[in-house]
Parts: sequence; C-alpha cells; structure tokens
Amino acid sequence: MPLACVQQDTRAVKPEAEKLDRAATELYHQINFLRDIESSSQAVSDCLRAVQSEGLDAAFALVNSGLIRVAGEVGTGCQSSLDACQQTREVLEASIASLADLRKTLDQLTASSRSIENVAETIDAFAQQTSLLALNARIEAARAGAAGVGFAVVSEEVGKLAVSIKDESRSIQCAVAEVARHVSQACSIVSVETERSREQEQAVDAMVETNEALLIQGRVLPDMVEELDQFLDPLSQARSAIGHNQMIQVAVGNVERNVRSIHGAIRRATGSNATHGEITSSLEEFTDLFTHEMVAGSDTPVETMLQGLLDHGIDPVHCLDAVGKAVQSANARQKYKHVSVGDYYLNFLAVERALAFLEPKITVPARTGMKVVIGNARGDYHSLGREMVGLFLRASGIEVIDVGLGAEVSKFADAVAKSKARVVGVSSLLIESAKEITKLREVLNQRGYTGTKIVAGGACFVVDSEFANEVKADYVATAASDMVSLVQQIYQYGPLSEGSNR
Amino acid sequence: MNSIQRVLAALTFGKSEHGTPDRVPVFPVPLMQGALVYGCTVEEYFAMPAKRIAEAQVKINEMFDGIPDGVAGIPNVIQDVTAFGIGLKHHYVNSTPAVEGMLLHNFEDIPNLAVPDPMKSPMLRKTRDTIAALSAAVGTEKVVIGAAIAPFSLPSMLMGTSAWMRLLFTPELRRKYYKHLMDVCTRFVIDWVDVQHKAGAHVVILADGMASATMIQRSVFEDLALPVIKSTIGAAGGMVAYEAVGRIEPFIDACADIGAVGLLVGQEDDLVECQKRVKGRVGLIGNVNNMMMRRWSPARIELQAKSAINQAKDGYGFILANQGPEIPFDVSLDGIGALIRAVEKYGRYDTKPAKTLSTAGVA
Repeated sequence: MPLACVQQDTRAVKPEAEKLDRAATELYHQINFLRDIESSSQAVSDCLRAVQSEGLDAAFALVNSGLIRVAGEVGTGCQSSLDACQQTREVLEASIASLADLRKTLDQLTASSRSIENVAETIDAFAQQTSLLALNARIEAARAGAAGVGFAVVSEEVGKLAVSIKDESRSIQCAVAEVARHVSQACSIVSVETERSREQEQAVDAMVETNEALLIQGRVLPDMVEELDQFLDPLSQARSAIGHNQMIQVAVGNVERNVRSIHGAIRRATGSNATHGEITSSLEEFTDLFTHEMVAGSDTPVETMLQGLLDHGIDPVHCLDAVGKAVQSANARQKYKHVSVGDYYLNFLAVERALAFLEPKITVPARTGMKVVIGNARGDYHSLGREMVGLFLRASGIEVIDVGLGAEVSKFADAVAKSKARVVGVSSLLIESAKEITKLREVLNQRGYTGTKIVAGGACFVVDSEFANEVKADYVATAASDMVSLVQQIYQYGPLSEGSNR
Repeated sequence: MNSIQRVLAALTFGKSEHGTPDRVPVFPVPLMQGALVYGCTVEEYFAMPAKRIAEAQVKINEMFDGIPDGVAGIPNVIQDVTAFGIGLKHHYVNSTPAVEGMLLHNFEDIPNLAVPDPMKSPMLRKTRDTIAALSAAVGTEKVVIGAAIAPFSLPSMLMGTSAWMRLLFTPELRRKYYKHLMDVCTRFVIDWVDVQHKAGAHVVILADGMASATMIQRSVFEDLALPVIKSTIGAAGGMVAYEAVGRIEPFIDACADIGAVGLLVGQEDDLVECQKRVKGRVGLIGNVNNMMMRRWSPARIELQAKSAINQAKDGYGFILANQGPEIPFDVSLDGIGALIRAVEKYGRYDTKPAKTLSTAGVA
C-alpha cells in the first residue's frame, strides 16, 4: 500500500481513535464508580458477616425463646407476688381492725377502772365517816357510864371495821391504779403496732404497684420480640443480595480488563504511552501501599513512591488525591484498632512529607469546594490535634482556614463569615475552653449561620461522650482522622442525621 | 488506724508493720474546691497565701468527716514550667491556668536550655510552703500529696506537644536534641520532687501525660519513656507514685518495677486486668471518671466507686481515687462525698494485726 494511502487511513482513524479514547476514559470513571459501589457493598457484607459471626441468629433465637420464657416467668412471678401482696394486705387490714377493737376494749377497761376507783374512793369516805361515828359512839358510851359499857364495845368493833374497810378500799385503789397503768401501756403498744401495720400496708401497696408495672412490661416483651423478628427476614435477604452483589466485583474486573485491552490497542495504534487504566492502576497501587505502610508504622519512602508516579506521567493533583485516600483508609483501619496518637502522628509525618513533595509541583490545585474553619478554643494551647486535622483535611483536598491557638469565638465566626465554610472544628483539651463552643453556636446563629456545623475535638469529649451535647456541638471527632469523613459527608450528603457521631 | 498507716498497709499489701488495712483508702483530689471554703473563685483561691490554701484543704478533709486519707498541696502541675520562666494565665476564673507561651520556639534552642532552680519560681515556693503547712497541720495523720510533671512530659509544656512529638518521631532530631532535653528535665524534676519531699510531702505523684498508651506506642514507651521514668524515680529521695494521665493498662506490666509506690490507673483501664498484670508488685490507685462525675448523681458516683472497690479491693494494694489529675470544679460536694463515703460502706476489710505489735501505731 502506498504511504500516502496509509497516512490517509491513519488520519481518518485518528478522530475515531480519539473518540474511543474519550469513551474509554468515561468507562474508567464508570468503572471507578462501580468500584466504589463494590467497596461499599463489600463493607456492608463485612458488617453483616460480622453480625452473623457474632451470633445474631443465635441471639435472636435466644431472645425469642428466652425472653418470652423469662417474660412468662416474670409474669407468673409477678402475679403470685401480687396475690401474696393481696393476702398480706388483707391480713394487715384485719390486724389493723383487730387492733382498733382492742384499743376500744382497752379504752372501756380504762373507763371501768376509773369507775371502780370512784367506788373505792366512796367506800373510803364511808369508812372514814363510820370511823368518826364509832369514835363519837365511844365518847357517848363513856358519858353513859356503866350503862354504856356494852355500847362502847360495839362502837369499838365498828371503829375497827371502819379501819379494815378503809385498808381494803386503799388496796382496791392501788390495784385499780396498777390495772390503769397496764392498760395505758397496752394502749401505747396498740398505737405503735397500728402505726407499724399501716407502714407495712403502704410498703405492700408499693410492692403491688411495682409488680403491676412489671406485669404490664412483661406483657409488652413478646410484642417487642415480634418487632425484632421482623428484621430477621430482611437481614437474611440482605445477606443473599450481598452475595449477588459480590458478582459485581467479577463483572467489573472483566469489564475493566476488556476496556484496558481495547484502550491499549488504540493507544498503541495511535502511538500514545500510559493508558488511563494504567494510571488508575498505578494510583490504586500507591494508595494500597501507602496505606499499608502507614498502618504498619513503617518509615515510608513516600517521596520515592510519588516520584515513580510522576515518572509515569501522572498528574501531581491525582497523586495528591491518592495520598488523601490513603490517609483516610489508614486512619479508618487504625481507628478500630484503638491505636495511640503516636500512630496517627506517624501518618501525619508521612503525609506532611508527601504534601511537601507534591504541592510545589501543583500549578492548578484541585478544588473540591469544601472548606473548614479550625482552631483551638480560647484558653486552649494544645495544638497537636488541630495541626493533624488540618493536614489530613488538606491532603483530602479540603480548604482549611486555621484560626490558630486560643482563638476567641469572634475569630471563628469571622472566619466562617469570610470563607462561607459549612463546618467549624473546635479543639479543646480543657473543660472551660470547650464550653466556648456554646458561645460560638450562639454567635453563629445570631449572624445567620444556623446551618454551619460545629465539630468538637479533644480529650474532654472522648472521656465524656455526653459533653458534646452539653456544649451544643453538632458532631464529635474522636480522632484526627474523623474530621475528613465528617466534612465530606456534611458537604456531599448534607448534614448527617441529628446527633449522629455524638 | 490512721490514714498514713492505712495507706502504707494497703500499698504494701498488708505486709507493713501496720498489718492489713481496715478499709480501702481513698484519695480524692478536690483541689479547686478549696475556693468553696472561702466563697471565692479558683483564681482568687490559689492567689492566697500558702497557709490559707492549706487550711482550706484541711477544712475540706474535715467536711468529709476526715475520711479522705490524703491532702494535696499543689494548685496544678502546669505551674512547674514557671521555673523555666514561662508565665501562666487564668483564662477562666474557675479553671486551671494555661501557659502564656512556649519557651522553646525552635529545636536549636534546646542546647541552650539549662536546669532551673525550682525555688526561683514564686509559685513553686508557695507550693512548697503549702505542703509544709499541710504537713504541720495534719502530717502525722494524713498522707500529704505533692505532684510534678514527669520529665518525659515536661518538654510538651516547654515547646508544645506537636513539636515534642516531632522530635520524638524524627530520628535525626531525636539524635541531636533528645538526650540534653531529657537530662535537663530529669534533673529539674528530681530537684523539684526533692523540695516537696523535704517540705513534708509523703508521696509525690509524677504526672506523665505523654507516656500513656493513649499517646505513644509501646516501643516508644519502652525505648524512650521508661528509662527516664526509672532514673527519675530511682533518684528521688522519697516515695513517688506514677500517673500516665491516660491509658496505662497496655504498659502496666512494664511499670510494675519502676520503683513507684503506686500506679494511677486511667478511667479507660480495666482494674481487674491491671491487677492481673502487675501481679501484686505495686499498688493501684484509681479510677473513677472525673469528667463523668460532673454529670453523675451522687448515687451513681457511689455505684461507680463501689464497682471500682469490688474490682480491686481483694488482696489489698488498692486506693480509691478519681481518675486524674483532679476533680472538676463543677462536681458537686455531694458527689465528691459519695465517692469518699463509698470506702466506708463497701471498702471494709477484716483486719489482721501486724506481726510486730510493738511498732504498730507509729506511722
């Protein structure tokens, strides 16, 4: 074939090849999107597997049988207890009534004692008068001389009788007083016992109330179990669906391989070098490796790794994006391992070096449009967390407006007003400084930034998980890495559901 | 059994001359609450003469029927930096102060750092006098507690935590500056601890926030922090307790033999696990969450204290305390009382008499 014809054919093919190249690029984007779906599907699958491995089914079964059985037992127990309480109450009521009767009888006895006492007093008075009469009789008998001798004997005997009556009357009075004292003591005992019985009655009433409440709650339990049961089927279906979703991985892999093959052929035909697929693959490889190095705490040769990417003609902006992804991936993995601040700090140093290497090479920075104001609250001079958060945000393409250490509320608010950032990160180790967040919320609201979210960070929020609510923060970042994902979610999907991450 | 005897009996696992403790000792740290005695702010309270600061601490002890076994004579540990010429500022009247600035702005400043004399700082002199006043007032009965920042953590106050972390994690910086910085800090801390002991502190707590498992990895702890802790405690002339001000559980086996009389345990740490790991080599002090005490009712605080007692009481070697460093100012006195009184309710032991009765009764 003459050269002119070949050149003509090549010219004719080139626009088509360029079209195909663009189509392939678009396909790569779509493949990336599918990869994201695949990753999230994988994450859901992992969660479900974890839930399964932690014996959710067994737990449900246990709840089902155990809870209902326990609820039944509690119900029966409560009913028995209620019956017993009722019986006790009846006994107590009878006791209280008997004690009241006893009290009445004792009162009557007291009254009778008083009557006897009065009678004894009257007899005593009679005896006294009789004694006087006997004395007078003796005097009159003496005056009568011999004729009164017999009368004198009689009067003397009458006097003696009067003395005896008086003695007996006194004995009766003493006995009656003794009886009265015992009756009074009995009355006191009856009063105390009555009071005690009433208290017992109240205690029984309280027990009845508690048992009734338990009985009602026990009846609700089977319904609750039934509600839980409703989730079992969807959960099982979700597991099957995830199984099917895993086929996406295979399908995406196949599509990607084919696209790469076609694209490679086109590139070779048109004389181009690295394909988009190759670039993507290199970046992914870098992200995986860098993540691994950070998690392992290795002294990562990040500059050499990045230089390798640049040598392949990869844009520094894409390299920075890969660094950001590695940071998030590493931090997410470390967070659940409860690593130390030192581990995160090693990431910080590696990312700092990566940024120092890449940033001078970036002429037009990628703009995500996400902005965050960060700073330490007034009175707080612990910069470590803020600095780490700032760097991780920057590495993720998020613009950071840092108001620095010990910043007044007005400084935060001014920065929000100027930058229109939708998120503010306030760091504080100290309780009183952390309370500045409440003031910041008020000032932001007053200035009309009601939608601006405040993320709190610092030790006092970790030690007391409710502290964020107290100071009216919207979210808490318990580790420096949390901030990146929080900001991305707030910007991409709008605010998270109220109270999440608190 | 007085408080000193009780604490000694507990920390020696019942092997001291005082026999076994009659109950779990309790060390609450209501430092700022001294302001309540005078009805003033925390800032005003700590501006008072040493004698008055001490009187308020004794008063608080009496307020809780003398149950607390220790009295603390320090306003805060941040004050240690004043010996290096750094100023402190109260940003809030009822809080601890913050540093006004850093001493070391560049790593190159480190070689010029010299060991300061603790007694050149008016604040530290006043703390010494406070300890002396406490010792004179209750020192034969109660444990007088001092405190200092540990050498490994002191640089974070002199240069900022971020710079200190950078130095620790950058081999070249570490090679150039670490030794001198640690030498200076260690010497200063030993001197300052010595001043407190001489003033009458029975025990000085070394607060080492940078050495906790919350902050650093075990390898960093073993290679860098541990040797410094050991040499400092080894050189101290009196009793020292060690507080990592964070999680200590992952390192606690390594801390059992540092020479401390007790280890303060963080609120996240599992007391049972910590006890298992130290195997009776050192006593534990802790660990009721001081931040949550702001939120909990007295009844809940009592339950938390009870739970800590139940976990660590057996075998002695346990002192109940709030997790450090101190009880926040807005915790109610009833709440603090609930923590303290829990030892009377739940911390009683069946006492065994000492073997040498002739010396018992003397602290």
